Amino acid sequence: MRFTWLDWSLVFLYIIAVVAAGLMSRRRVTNISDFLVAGRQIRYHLGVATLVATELGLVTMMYFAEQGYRFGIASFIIGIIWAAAYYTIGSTGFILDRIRQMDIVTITEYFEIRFSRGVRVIGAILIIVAGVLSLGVFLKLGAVFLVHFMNIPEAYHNITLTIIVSLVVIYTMVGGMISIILTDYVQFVVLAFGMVLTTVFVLAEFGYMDFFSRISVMYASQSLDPFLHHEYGWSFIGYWTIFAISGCVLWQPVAQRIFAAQNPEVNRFIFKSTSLMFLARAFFPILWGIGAALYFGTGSDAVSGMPKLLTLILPIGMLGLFAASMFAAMMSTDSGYILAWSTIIVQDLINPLRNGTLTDAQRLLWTRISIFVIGLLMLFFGVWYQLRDTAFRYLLDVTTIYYAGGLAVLVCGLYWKRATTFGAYAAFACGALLPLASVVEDMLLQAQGSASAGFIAGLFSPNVRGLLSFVFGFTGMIIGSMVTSPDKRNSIQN
Amino acid sequence: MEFWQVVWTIAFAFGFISFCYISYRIITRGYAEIQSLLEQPKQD
Repeated sequence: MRFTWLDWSLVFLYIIAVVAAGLMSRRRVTNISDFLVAGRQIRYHLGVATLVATELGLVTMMYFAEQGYRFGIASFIIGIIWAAAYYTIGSTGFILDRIRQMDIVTITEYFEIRFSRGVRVIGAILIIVAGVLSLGVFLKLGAVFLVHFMNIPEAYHNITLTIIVSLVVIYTMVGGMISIILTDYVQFVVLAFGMVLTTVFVLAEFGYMDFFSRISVMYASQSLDPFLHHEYGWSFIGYWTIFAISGCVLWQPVAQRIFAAQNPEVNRFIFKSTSLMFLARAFFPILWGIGAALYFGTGSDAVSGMPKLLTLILPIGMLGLFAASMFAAMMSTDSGYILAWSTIIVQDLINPLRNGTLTDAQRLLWTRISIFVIGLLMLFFGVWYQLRDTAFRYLLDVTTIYYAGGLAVLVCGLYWKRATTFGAYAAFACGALLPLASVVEDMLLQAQGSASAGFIAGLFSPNVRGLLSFVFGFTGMIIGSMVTSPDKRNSIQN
Repeated sequence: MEFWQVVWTIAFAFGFISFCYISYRIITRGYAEIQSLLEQPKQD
């Protein structure tokens, strides 16, 4: 037990500061626009802070560290592709400029404007399924961190996580997006210091110059070349590239920040700056994971390796700062995600199904109720579900349920005049087919206590399955639209 | 030193420096934007 009173004080001080900052903003919230998109007043640097803090969660650190531990430095390719996707979209304004010019708060809202209310509801259901399923691993990996880094006994880790989620739910219910942006800034400051200093300590432990040479020796059996690596290769690179583009514009926590920005020019700045931050978002925790493999050997537990290593090499005081930064990562991501999914539930399910009759006050109330319910679901699912593969792979699978059809619907809706409502339904159905079948089959097998991989998992490798899902999504959109486009129908009738 | 080792070392150095530089700018300039967000009357 290396945590001292100084480390615990830093953690508690940080938590009190964040909750106080979150509650402070309640007087600034005067309507639903303030609550959901901060009155669309987010400017340059605050936009980067909130996007980075939201997309850099404790779960991100844990799954990247696991990738680094298991697959070595070739895992850096994940960060490079993600950064390239953000930079390309920020530079070209592809999708970004057009959606910000609309007065909407969710991407699925656009689906109704361009196609129909039914497409909006189907899109909303798929993104909520993907979002809530992904939240399940957040607490699970958070618990691993607490047990191994802070030496919290296993008997207490669920109660600790419940307290943390409760605090997040309370300040999100009270202050909405303004509260989240304020706390994201505080969290960004702590995160930035914590991550940079921790990386320096890990490099110092193994020698700055020797570190990369030792990696080559350690992972000699696996390639450093991501194109030849058994876990990655061309199919992963293709899948991950299209997945990353989808993540830039379709993922509601990111989209909500696009809509909260003052104008499209601010968005371009935010995306280009964030792209560079996202290199380190992957590199730092991957490096910590590799450090754990160098320290303990590759035969140890990949998930708990990183927290175990850091608790041994970080000095007193720095342990507290790192723990606070991990709490920062966890709280900022959880709050951003909980608000994002509750926004979708109210804006794209409850309100359209009641023919848009909800008043602002009712929408605010329903959003707060949804925040509470999602917090409960997060706790329940996080305790019950067991991961079969890496956490990174699980998150890819569940998110592809929505992305595979959603990207086709969004891109074709914005840039292809002949895209039709039937094409949009076909895109969602075809895109979700493989990943949804795979996740549902896995859950049914787990519920039956079976350890077998399942039929769908045996059909294709995970990378090919993911790539095919996007191909199916676009194919569904194109064929569905061509069959039902007015031009086609007219030519058949004539 | 093999090719990919050089590539990853350079990529890491670039990522590290970018992270430090942008973090510094966000921390110093973001604070003023927070004050403006909390104080300014709504414009839309």
